[in-house]
Amino acid sequence: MKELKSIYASAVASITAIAVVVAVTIGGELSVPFKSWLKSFTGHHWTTKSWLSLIVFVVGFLIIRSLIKEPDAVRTRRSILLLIATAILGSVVLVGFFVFEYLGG
Amino acid sequence: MIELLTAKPVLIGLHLGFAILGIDAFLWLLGEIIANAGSVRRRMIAASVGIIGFLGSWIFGGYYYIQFYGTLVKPVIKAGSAPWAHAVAMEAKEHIFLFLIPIAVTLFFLAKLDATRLESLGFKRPTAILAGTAAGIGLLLGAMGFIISAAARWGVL
Repeated sequence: MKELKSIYASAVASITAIAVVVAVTIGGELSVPFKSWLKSFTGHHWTTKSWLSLIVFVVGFLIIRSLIKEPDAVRTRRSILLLIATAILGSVVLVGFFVFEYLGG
Repeated sequence: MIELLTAKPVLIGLHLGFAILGIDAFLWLLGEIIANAGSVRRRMIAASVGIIGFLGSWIFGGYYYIQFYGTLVKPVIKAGSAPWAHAVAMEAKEHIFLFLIPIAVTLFFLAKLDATRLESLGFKRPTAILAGTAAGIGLLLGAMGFIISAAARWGVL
């Protein structure tokens, strides 16, 4: 089923993009040189992160879709559930990190 | 026309308007999935409207954020009674927003499956939860946006 391949590739690429956004965001807050390096690409760190999230998602999707054989329903279902967990966990981690940082952590 | 579109209140209005469109579209998709509605075309329209909504919100909100927020709004909030509105709400909001487009595209691919196939593959529940997650994150970011705007308003009083 052609759709399963696209769903699986999109879910895994989304998980990767979210993980990269969380890692790069926290990395940028912990390291001023890293944040300046991000800024050097587009003039603003957030614009760089925006493009990075899109590039990781699109490139990840194309690579995964072209490399994988037809995934079964169980594997695809698991990728959707993992995407939900990653999105919720990523949101909690970012809010928690900025609360911690604000309180002087 | 460009002058009107790039006016600060218009940018905020477009950012919010497109976000509401995206949230509503994924709530619509959620309803279609829960109700086992038969029309794949309608699901795909809902998911497409959701993607357009979140993309529009990203472009207009991003332009406002880069051009005006850092120089005009952020200093007011930081000097006001709720500096955490920038340090926590804005910082989290601008980054969590980046999760939404990949999730929306994944929902578009899932919307191509009709009710029978969603059910038989065991995707109905995960798809409904994912659509609810997209709408829920959108609503969370909307609440954060309200806090940020209120903090800026109270910051100048």
